[in-house]
Amino acid sequence: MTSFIDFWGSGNGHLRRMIPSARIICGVVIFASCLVLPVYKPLGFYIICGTTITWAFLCGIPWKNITGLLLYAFLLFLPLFLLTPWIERHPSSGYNWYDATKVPMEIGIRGTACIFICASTIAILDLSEFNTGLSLLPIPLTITSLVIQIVHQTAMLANESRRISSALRIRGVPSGYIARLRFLSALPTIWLLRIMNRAERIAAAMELRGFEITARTSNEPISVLDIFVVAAAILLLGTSITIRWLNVL
Amino acid sequence: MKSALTYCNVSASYRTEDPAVIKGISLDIAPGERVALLGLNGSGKTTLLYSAVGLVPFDGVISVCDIPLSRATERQIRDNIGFLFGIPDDQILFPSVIDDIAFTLERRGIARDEARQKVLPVMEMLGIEKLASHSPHCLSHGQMQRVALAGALAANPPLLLLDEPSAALDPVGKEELAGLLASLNAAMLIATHDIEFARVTCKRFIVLANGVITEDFADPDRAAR
Repeated sequence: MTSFIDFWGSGNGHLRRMIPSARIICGVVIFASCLVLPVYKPLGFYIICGTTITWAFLCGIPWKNITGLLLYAFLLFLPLFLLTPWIERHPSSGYNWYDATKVPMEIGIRGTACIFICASTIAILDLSEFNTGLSLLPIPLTITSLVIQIVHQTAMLANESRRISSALRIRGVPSGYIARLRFLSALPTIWLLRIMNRAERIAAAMELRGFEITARTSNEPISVLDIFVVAAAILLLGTSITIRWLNVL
Repeated sequence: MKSALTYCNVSASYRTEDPAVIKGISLDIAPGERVALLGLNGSGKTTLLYSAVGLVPFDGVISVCDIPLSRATERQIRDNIGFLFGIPDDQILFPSVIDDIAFTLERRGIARDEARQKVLPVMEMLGIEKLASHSPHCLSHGQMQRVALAGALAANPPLLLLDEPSAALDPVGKEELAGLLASLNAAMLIATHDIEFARVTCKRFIVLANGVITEDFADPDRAAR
């Protein structure tokens, strides 16, 4: 399956022509819309599905990533459905299966849509563009800096984990159930210690290099496409709020 | 400037209750002087470098470019030093190569676009200009070493503290790096196990054993022995 770092900048859709900040804004606004839209209303359901598919298409997310994400979403939400028979239901629901699966279904649909929107958004941003885009948004620079480091260090840790797993594959895992179990249970400790040591070294490097926030300027002009897509995303959010709380439509 | 780096009776340990890793070090490095710091694993080479930038608590006096190191002068001193860590990917803090190298200049107040332009010659010198837009996660260890080194050299500091700069480089890369370092005017203290690299790059050799300077000489043939 594709790793965390491979998702970034993997899309080749038309929206890559937008400036990075506009891409981030659109991603966040569309994500918020999907959180707000009521899945149990037919219109809400159609809008969520339509928006997710359109956004993924415009971002040009690769097919292999789509397959991976569908599998991931399936594995993530399957337990909710498996638990359905044990969910205590109100007698008025009549104990029918449709009502019983309503809540897991809602979580599943909304969750899958959110996963796809996140993955599509990061598909049109490589890490450098994300860094640039985020630092140009009007949010506190400490938060920007923190988010950038979280993303960057997560990618580094993903690489480190990959190296640990390669080493394990090559060096082999002990034979015998007990030995294997003991080994596997010790693994998080080994990993955690490595991560803690690494965090300490990175903190020293950040201190030494003077990692403080630098205000950034950009000469990238805002295009008509940027304005149009951001406006469409905001309109979608407005529509979602209207459907959800004002009970219009 | 009389001296690029001075240690006067410096002892350092990572925690106060631990025994000192380096003991009673006195050393003076002149501006432009290139010094190799040799010694076995655990002899205190990295600790000696860390103490010069205030990353390890120490007793005694350390001065960089005639400025005594203290909490108040720490930032000013660090701005005068280009530092290369032993594990280069620890010091790469940005998601693209050029962003990371340009950061050295950005935090000195240079605008982003200008900083990106200014670091290009250093990147060309180190042969990493084609990696500018790459993510550091996709680089080999040797390429990361060059990126980290470019970050250290970008601001043209008067003092370079380099921890195993040749460790991950191929023979050609080592030769190129030695030539590059020899062409710089900065003073440098290079912790290394690579005697051949040290001989080509440095004019003075200091041997550290169990945290104490045991030899300080200028004869490259003696270094080889």
